[in-house]
Amino acid sequence: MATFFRHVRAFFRQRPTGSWLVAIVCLKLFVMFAILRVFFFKPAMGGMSAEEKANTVSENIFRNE
Amino acid sequence: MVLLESLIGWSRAQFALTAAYHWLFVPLTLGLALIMGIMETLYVTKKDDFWRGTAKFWQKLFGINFAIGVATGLILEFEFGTNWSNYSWFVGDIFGAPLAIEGIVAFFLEATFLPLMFFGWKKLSPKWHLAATWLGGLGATISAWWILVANAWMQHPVGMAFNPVTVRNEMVSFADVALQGMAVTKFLHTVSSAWMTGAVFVVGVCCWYLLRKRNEEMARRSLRIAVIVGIASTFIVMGTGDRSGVEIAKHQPMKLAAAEGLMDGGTQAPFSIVPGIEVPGVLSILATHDLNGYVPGINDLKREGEAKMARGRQALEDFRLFRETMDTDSAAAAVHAQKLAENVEFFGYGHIENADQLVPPVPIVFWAFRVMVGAGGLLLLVLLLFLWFEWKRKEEFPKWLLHAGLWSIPLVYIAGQAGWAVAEVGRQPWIIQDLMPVNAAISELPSSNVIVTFFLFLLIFTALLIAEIKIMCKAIKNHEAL
Repeated sequence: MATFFRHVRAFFRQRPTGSWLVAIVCLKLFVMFAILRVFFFKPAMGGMSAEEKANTVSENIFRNE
Repeated sequence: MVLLESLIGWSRAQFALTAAYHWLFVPLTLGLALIMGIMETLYVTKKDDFWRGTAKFWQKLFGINFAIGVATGLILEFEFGTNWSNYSWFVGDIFGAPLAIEGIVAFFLEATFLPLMFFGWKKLSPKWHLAATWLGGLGATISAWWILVANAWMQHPVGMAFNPVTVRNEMVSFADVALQGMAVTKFLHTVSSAWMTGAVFVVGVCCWYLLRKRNEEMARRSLRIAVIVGIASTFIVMGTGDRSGVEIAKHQPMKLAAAEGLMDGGTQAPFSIVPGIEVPGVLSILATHDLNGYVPGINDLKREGEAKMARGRQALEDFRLFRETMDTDSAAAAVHAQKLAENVEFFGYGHIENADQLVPPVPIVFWAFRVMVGAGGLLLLVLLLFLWFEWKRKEEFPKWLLHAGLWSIPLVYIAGQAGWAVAEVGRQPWIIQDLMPVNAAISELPSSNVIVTFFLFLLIFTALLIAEIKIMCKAIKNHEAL
């Protein structure tokens, strides 16, 4: 595993674009999972049981009727 | 109602924005995977170090695109759970299963083989490295298969039964879901268009080098491969596009009528090149492969829609009665379930208030179709001209052709985006064809939440796109072929 990471590090070091890419990828994943997912994209029916979800969806279907 | 309209509008805009940006990264990944696979195969079979260096260069550009684009599609899945929760529950495991398989395949094949491809040039034998390159590309392509299976199911839902107790569609035939005609056609059409994108991208970059008289051997030999891949994939795109037309005529006739602006149907239906210029009979041939085939128009389909709306309302009423009686009167519930089953294929029509709502935005679909086909035709012409000059063994390509090749890069992206606009705008008002319109699929959220995340995404994706273009341009500019 350590050898693998050494190769990964060497790959990025030998390329001037590598460091930028790593920074962008890390920042993107952080924004996606630690900010967007946590604060903006909570599942609308998170925490409900299957029965509660079925009831909610059927009510919503009738709401839009 | 106004608030709901605003919520639907912003949620749709957000999904469209995310999907459109995602589709800027994906086709280049799939297309370059094929081209660099071919180049590396030439290196291994011919034992020619030129192809090793060339494959590594294109792989570098592939790596930049992959790194910036990776996981942008996951945001679409966030949106399903938050903005489209009714839909997510209603589709049940039919949508979840292909996406789960996609996740597993993407994870195992791409996560295993792409790092080996990037980092394994000195560690693996040429043959093992070649295997890693092809398997990484195959992983990305198989991922696309499952995503497109899920999309095709939304366009033509098959292989499931609606369970009114759980309010979910339950899969009864995995084979029908995974191998239905719409899924196969969509996969072949989409993936071949991605190969075309990769090929045109390589052509464009090679043209840039040739215009500047740099890396000429690499550019000339790469261009040769890209032109062949580009022409072959364009013909596959055309063939599968023809098949797609027949599928749409069968399962989504309103989309076809909108794409043609055909108000009243008939046999020997004309194909409209632009408004006012029509070719008699061609639409019938495209839609049915028969000059005398009947193609319904928007007005015909609206009339048909009225009858379906009545059956849809009946289905909703039976569904309501079933839900009211299922815990208290099992005999009555069984009767309502039976009646629901008779009309369930029109379930979504119960939400349609008037037949005009069944018509998608005609100008967008009409023009997007023409942009897609027109851009595709121009790209084919450019690729054929390159082939002709190669055939004639000309020392140099004319400058105007090199400029055309360079400007083909934005054109191929415009064609791809227009194609998705036809597919997705053309199926409105449905999120699932005939079963669920978008207004029934939406979660109850404040519109302001969706507006905030819309602009947040716009900012993030634009920044990513600028970063990708800058890093890629720098890599192209700095490259010195051996």
